[in-house]
Amino acid sequence: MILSPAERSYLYDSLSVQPPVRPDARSAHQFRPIEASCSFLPNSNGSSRVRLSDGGEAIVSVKTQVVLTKNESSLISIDVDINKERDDSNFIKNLISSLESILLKKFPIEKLKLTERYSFKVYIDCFILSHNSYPLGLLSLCIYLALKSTRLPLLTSTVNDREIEEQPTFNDDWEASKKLFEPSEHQDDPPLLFVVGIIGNNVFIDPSNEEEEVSENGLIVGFANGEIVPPVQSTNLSNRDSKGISPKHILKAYSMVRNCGKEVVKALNTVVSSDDDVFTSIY
Amino acid sequence: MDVISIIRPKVTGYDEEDSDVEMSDVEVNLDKDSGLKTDVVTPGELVTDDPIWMRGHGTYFLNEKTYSAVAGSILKVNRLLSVIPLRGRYQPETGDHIIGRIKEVGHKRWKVDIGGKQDAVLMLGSVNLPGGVLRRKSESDELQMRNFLKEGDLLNAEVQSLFQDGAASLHTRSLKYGKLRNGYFVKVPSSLIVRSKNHSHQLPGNISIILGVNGYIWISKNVSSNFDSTNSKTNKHEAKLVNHGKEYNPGQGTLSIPKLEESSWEIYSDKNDPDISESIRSTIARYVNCIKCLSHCEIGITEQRIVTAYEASMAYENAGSLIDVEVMENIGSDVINGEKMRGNG
Amino acid sequence: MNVQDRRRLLGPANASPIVFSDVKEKKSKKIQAKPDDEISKMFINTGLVKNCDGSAYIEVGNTIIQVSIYGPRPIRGSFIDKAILSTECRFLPYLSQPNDSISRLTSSTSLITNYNGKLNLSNIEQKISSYIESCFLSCIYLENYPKSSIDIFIKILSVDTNLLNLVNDVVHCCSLAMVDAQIESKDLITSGNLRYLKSNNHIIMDPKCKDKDKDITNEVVEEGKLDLVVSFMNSRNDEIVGFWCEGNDTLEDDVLEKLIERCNDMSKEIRKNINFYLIESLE
Repeated sequence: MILSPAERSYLYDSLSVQPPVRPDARSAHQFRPIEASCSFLPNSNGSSRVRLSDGGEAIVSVKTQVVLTKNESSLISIDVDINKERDDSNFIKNLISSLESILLKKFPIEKLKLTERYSFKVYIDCFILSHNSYPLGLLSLCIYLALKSTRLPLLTSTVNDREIEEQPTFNDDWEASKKLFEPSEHQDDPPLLFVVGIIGNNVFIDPSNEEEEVSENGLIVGFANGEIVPPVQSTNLSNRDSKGISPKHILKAYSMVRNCGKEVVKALNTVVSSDDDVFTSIY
Repeated sequence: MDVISIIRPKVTGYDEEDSDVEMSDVEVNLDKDSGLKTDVVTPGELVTDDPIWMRGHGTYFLNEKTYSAVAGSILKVNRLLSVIPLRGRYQPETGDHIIGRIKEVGHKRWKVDIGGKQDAVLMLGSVNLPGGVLRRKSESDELQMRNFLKEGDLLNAEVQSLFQDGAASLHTRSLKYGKLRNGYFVKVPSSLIVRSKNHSHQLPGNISIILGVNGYIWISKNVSSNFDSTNSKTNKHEAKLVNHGKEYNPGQGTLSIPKLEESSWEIYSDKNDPDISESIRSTIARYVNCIKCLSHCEIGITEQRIVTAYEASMAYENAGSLIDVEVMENIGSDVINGEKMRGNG
Repeated sequence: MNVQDRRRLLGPANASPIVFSDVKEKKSKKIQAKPDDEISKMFINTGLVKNCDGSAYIEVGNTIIQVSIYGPRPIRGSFIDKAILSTECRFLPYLSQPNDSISRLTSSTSLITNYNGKLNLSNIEQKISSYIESCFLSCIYLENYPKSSIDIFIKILSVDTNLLNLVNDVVHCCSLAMVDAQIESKDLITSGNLRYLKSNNHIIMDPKCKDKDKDITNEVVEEGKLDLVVSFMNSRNDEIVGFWCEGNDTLEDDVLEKLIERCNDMSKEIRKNINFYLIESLE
């Protein structure tokens, strides 16, 4: 996206006054409204679709496969596919590694273990239909919903197959399936990543395309269970006019993400629970 | 604290009963007088089998019958029959006041993105250069074209003429055209902009707006109020000058020459007005959201409706809440109801 | 053998197969464990590569990095008013890349060659590339070089440390090469790298330890660990141009503030040494 110098300076000035006047009049901590649904792909263990008001849209499907544990290097595999982008492009690889870096640390791996020999392998396939702004935030919301709606079939065969070779068998009844992320005291919600733009002394969450274009710098901040978790990373949202930041910015972004994160999780969980009702009423 | 609003996608599945009724209901709705189908047609649909009609844009002719080539509404002008597409790219017409973005600087011309099928062309000869209207374009001007307009610059212009292939040739030979400053750019579908006599307006709150016919909209701070008072006057003189073209006689329209010279390089400046207050910025943001509301509800955008939407939006103290779909639809229905009440809806 | 194969060129009659002498395991240089609050010694050199515009070589312990910079050089195609910066980081093919959680997952997919037989960048390589790129975007006066491109090529010749520590060294190597290439910059970027252990509230400066591989169940080996690398422009008011935090613990504001400060101290220390080297090398 190219902006004219006059547009650029107008946007920059608007976003650097106190408090920032964002081009769509949002407040600094306000996300763009999204349209979300989950559990809509019948062949996936969990799925979600999120649309942004600017036309960005992503679909995430979570599928599981029973594998021999010893043959796998990892039980989670994340793949991102974007139209018009090569799979080995820097853009996609950076998205994947950011997502992996947070998901791996907060994944309930023990739930994937089926028997002594077998485990579930989880494939998280993300498909970005279109995006205008940096799609990491969108993707993270979408993955959250997909993981929250993921159900694993109930194992009916024995857990201990060390002595007797036996393929695991499962209960056909989908009602009996258990959720991968069941809210409980011991279990965390899936983690989220937020993108924060920085201009002047201001930080603002979920920057739109134009806001990214004039941002001096950006931060990717991880969030899980009401706390900030690594990775936290600076990133250039645009290739122009980037500037250094101060620790003040990072701390500001922190407290903003900490406050917003809880609200976002709450809102997303409502979506999951309402779609879950629909789901159980069908099956 | 409003952090995020999530809505559920609308279920567009239809009841089977309903669709059954519809299927049996489908009837070719013929206009008794002309043998013409009315309203909206889809591609391949028979529009008329009367060979008397001249076939215009969006139609094709097969076995003495006229079919629609696009999805859209039928337009009849005398004997000319055409189908206006519901959506689609902007189709330039001579005289359209449009907003464009420079895409490329070429040989004696700029390529301008106007949201059409093809990029428009702005010739170096069709712009006002610093130094007055009568100034000849020299080679040095060709070399410094990027100092006037460069890639990414926004300008408003008029479609001067159309080439054979439908591409537009633009001109900015009037003080009301030229580079855009002090504001914000919004894009809406071009079909929502109603062609009218005047496309630049003053809005309450010291804001000016240019509704480009191509769906590009510029909302800015109303900078020079004195300029506006003389605006019509200067334009008249300018129009005269343009009309006279080459046979311009000294002594005629002398008023406008110093006016142009005054503007000099300023008309190509990239600098915004240094004091655009925060309240102006917030007002612009609110107007932007109002326009997005109208666009979301697919309401044709006019000055009057923008003002109505703006007034309706005042019910929401925080302009940031205007991005919620529900609020957008409320405002859209407010605008429509308002017009119905006034009896022009 | 009386039947001689005439179709083949035969070796001399008295040829004997080559025999390798016993390969003795060469002991790798043992790096003396350094105190936790000290920066490890480094060897730096610039201008070694003659056919590029600027190069630098850095050796820290067993980690060896070489950077060459090409540019500013003209580009073909449409007009741009600012130089394009591109970064490519590559490990020598036989090196095992720092086995941080990020690369662990995709290790199976990372060694895919594309059609021209060149190895695609692995996720780790992409990640380092983008970090370096985002640091230098804020630092170089790109607008002084219209219609040109600046390419940074990073070669990791040997690596014996964790990912973020490696990134730290790469930053310094690139800064030196940037000076050698005489590219106009706002400042010379240096960075600091720390490991914070939450259990005993302990900070290790410039940690040289390798990360332990985690097993498939993703059992966290070290609890409460944070790794941080922060890159600064120290003569421009200590502006942060790059920030990267990994780990498996929550990030508290006060801890973060302290860590950034310590990184800054370390960065300043390194800056002093690099300045000293540059002045020496000029004389």
